[in-house]
This record gives sequence, structure tokens and C-alpha cells, in this order.
Amino acid sequence: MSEYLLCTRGLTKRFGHHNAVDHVDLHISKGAIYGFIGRNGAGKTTCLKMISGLSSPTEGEIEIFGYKGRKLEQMRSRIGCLIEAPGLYENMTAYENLKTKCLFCGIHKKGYIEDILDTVGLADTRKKKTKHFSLGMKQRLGVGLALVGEPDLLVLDEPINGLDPQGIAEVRDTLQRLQQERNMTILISSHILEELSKIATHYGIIHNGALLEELTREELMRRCSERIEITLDEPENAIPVLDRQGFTRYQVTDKTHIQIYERLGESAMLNMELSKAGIPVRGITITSEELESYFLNLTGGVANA
Amino acid sequence: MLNCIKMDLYRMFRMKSFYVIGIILAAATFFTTSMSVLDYDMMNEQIKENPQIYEQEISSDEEPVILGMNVTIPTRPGEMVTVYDQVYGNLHGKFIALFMVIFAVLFSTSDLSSGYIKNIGGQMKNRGNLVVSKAVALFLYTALTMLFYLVVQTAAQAVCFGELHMGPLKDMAAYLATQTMLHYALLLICMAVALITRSKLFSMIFAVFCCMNIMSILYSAVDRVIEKLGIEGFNMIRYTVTGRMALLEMTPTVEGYVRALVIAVVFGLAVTVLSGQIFRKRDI
Repeated sequence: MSEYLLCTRGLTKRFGHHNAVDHVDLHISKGAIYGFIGRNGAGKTTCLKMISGLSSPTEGEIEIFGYKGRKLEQMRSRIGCLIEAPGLYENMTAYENLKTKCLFCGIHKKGYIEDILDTVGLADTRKKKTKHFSLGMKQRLGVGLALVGEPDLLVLDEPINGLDPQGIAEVRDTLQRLQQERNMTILISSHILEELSKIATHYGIIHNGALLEELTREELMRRCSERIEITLDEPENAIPVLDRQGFTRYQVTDKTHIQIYERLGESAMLNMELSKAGIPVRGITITSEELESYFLNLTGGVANA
Repeated sequence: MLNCIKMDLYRMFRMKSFYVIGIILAAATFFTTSMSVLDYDMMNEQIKENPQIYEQEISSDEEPVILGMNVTIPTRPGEMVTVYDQVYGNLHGKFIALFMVIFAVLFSTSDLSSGYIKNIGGQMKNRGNLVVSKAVALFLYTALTMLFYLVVQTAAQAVCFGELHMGPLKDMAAYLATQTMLHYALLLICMAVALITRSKLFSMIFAVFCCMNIMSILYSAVDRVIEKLGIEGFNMIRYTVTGRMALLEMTPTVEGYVRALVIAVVFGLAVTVLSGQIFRKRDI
């Protein structure tokens, strides 16, 4: 059995000659909030639809809860999803929409619907029909519908799309609470990296249907945080010098670069110490990268946006 | 499966169109019954003046194919108009079917058009079961609507004619049951068209065309092709659900009932299985 709650192997969806999703290998651990980032049309929704069982892959394999193929079909009820816009019966109230899903799931527990309404902050909507709901309320009800049956995996496709800052904060709080209180694994897609960075513990970046990178929050922060970047021919020779000077948070990133994430004001002293040790330094700069620009650089720059 | 049925029944009874169509059907039944009072009086007047006209009309054996809706009561001059006459006229003329198919299309497409299907479609082991549960809900709808119509028709008869004659109850029960099955099969066909095409507009037009005998143009074209192939006397309308609805007589033979039921079951099963298979395999 896989160590991951969800993993895909070579997941592909082809429409005609176009690969909307191209051999994607996702790895999501239990309890993670996995931010699935990509521009519009990158293949996020298609990928999530396949994971949610709404669409079948052209190629590849999906393994969830350790099950794949036909056995996975039996486990589908443990996945809750909100794909694209929330699908609601507009002439029904929030309660009735949830009741419909509860009947489908065979849930008749008293107070169950009220609990979900409370969780997503819609407890006071009473007899208001969902056609009169704001977009934020609809999104939260969509999340509420996905929660019916207490799924172990929650798949949310752009749940903050079109929301105002308050709505975004409300959805974010709801998701964080769910993850903390129920240890729920959440796969959430967005093209707004800044927002995802506030809740996600892991990231997958998709572009043109292909998964470019998977990384943890720490890795992403490290890549985007302010740092001293030293360019030199043989970085390994500089390590004893860094250790001697008491630097602990540094990383040799490639054959010519070392990045240091602490004591940013001591770059001049460090340059001097390296020179004293006879290590030629080609360049030493303080650099940083915004999350957004990191994402843009990875996906081909602003020109492709 | 049982949960799916419960869900579909719950949402069916919460659809506004369920009640709106019921109200319109009741109003239309009262309207047509009041109009048939005028027709009946006029017919009696004509017969008094010129009895030969009626004799000529009933001497024709062939059921004329009329484009559009034709609701006429089969009452002979001098006889009492019964509830059964009205029931026959409205069911035979596909007047009640028109309301039912509109609801069938709205009901079948509401989870697709609202996107609610995305909340549940992925969680099913076999998505085709959603089609079966819709079919079960539509069966209940057909039975309830027929019952509702019968009650309304009886009330309309009493109000408009000022007297109430039910007609032969045994015959009416058999006729109503057979027509219920044929109507149900028509609803399943409309549901299948709606699910396969995923177009509310197209399926609505198709459903209305079926009730307005517009499809008879297609049937006659098929008849001609078959005739050219050397098969004489083939009449496609006899093998269709709407054709059987029109051709079922007030006092049919056992053969007539069996033929109608076989067509209803075959069509109903075929379209449900077909749409279920397509729905199961197709992406949402």
C-alpha cells in the first residue's frame, strides 16, 4: 500500500489530439492541504474531475486510500468535492439542498444538517432560497455539500474564485478548521498562489497539463524568502567557513550557488571571511522572490499569463 | 439505489414545476370540459337538423392522422357524456401527455442544468443508477398525475355538465391502466432524449412534437421507404408509443391491451437501459 492518501501515476486526459492533463503524478499525504496551482486552462479542473470520479482518465492510474481501479469505485463515497461553480438547486433553501445530499448518502441523523450549516457559517439562512444567496454563501454551501458524509478527502476546485476578501477569509477559515478538527485531507486548486500560501501545506504546480513541481510549504517559502546568494566556483569549499561563522540555515542549491537564509546584514563580513580563506567569490547579493513571480517564472513568465 | 430514489422523490416534490404543471393541468381540464359542453350541444343541434352528417363521419374505419392536438369526445348523439368519454378524449389526444412530458424533461435535466449532479455523480459506484432512480420517480409521477387528472376530470364533469356519469368503470380502469403505462413509456423516452442530448430545449421540442403528432411526418417517410423495399401495408405508427396511445380503443380486445403493454415495456426498458449506459460512461 502506498504511503500517500492519494497518488496518481501517469494521469492523462486527452480531448481529441489535445492533452488537457499530461502524465501527472500527484502525491498527497494524509492530513495535508494540497494546493494545486496553475493558470486558467492549465488542466486543474480536468485533473480534479478525474480524482473525484466525475470523469474517467484516458490513461494512467489513480490510487486513493490505497485502492485503485474497480476497488476504488467502492471508496468514492469517502471523497467530497466541489468542482467549478457550486451545483445547487436554486429554488431550494440551503437546508433542502443539504437534505437532498443527505438522502443520497443515507444520512438521517437528527441535527446533522444544522451542524454542517453551522460549520460553513450558513446557520442563519433559514428559508432563504439559494438563488438569493451571494456568491460567497453559495461557495460555502458548496463546501457544505462536499462535507456531507464526512469525507476523508475533500476536493475543492477554485473555491475562492470570485469571492471578496471577506468571503475568501471565511472559506479559508472553514478549511483550516476542518483540517485541524477532523484531520481531513484537502486538495484545493487555485490560480491565486498568494491565497493558497496562507493555508496549503503542500503544493503542486501544473502548467499546460503537465505537473511541473511538487513541494512542501517549507520548500516554497525557502525558495521565495529573502536570502544571501553567493556565486562561486566550488561551493563545497565555502561550507567550513560558513560553519565556523555559525551559519546554520543555508543550502547549496547547485554547482555554483549557496543560499543563506539568516543574518542577512552580514554579507560583507562573509565576503571578507571567504576571501581570507582563499575562496574566490564571483558575486554576493541579497535576493528574494515574491510567491507570484516564483510561480510566473516557473510557468513561463508574464508573457504567458 | 434506494437512497437515490428517496433523493429523487424528495427533489421531485420540491420542484415548483411539479405544482405549477398540476395547476395548469387542472385548469386546462376544466377548460376543455367546458368546451366539450359546447361541442356536445352543437353536435346534438346538428344531428337534429341533418342526421346523415354523423352517419358519414362514423362510417370511416381509418383513424385520420392529424398534425397538432385533437381532443374530441367519442360520445354519440343522444347519449350521456361520461367521465370515461372525457378521459378517453384527453388521453387519446395526448392532451394530458403534453403536461407530463414537459415535467419529465424539466425533472430529468434539473440536476444536470443546476450542476447538482457534480455533488453526487462521483460518489456513485454505478452512475447509471441515477437514471433508474429518475425512472422510478417518473413512474410515481405518472401514476399520481393520472390519479389527479381523474379526480379533476370527475369534478369538472360534475361542474360543467351539472351531472355525473362515470361510464363503464371496469373498462375505464383497464383503459386508464394501459394508457398510464404508455404515458410512462413516453416520459421515459423524453427523459432519455434529455439525458442523451443534455439539451433542455431540444428535448422539450421533441417531447412537444411527440404529443402534437409532428413525428407522424417522420413515420410516414419511414413507411414509404419500407414500402419501396417491397413490404406492403407497413404502418410504423402502430409500433410506436404515441401511435398506440392514439390507437387504443375504448373497449379494446385483450390483444389490443397486450400489444400496447408490450410496446410500452419494450420502449421503456430500451430507452432506460440505453440512457443508463450512456450516463454511466460519459463524463460529467
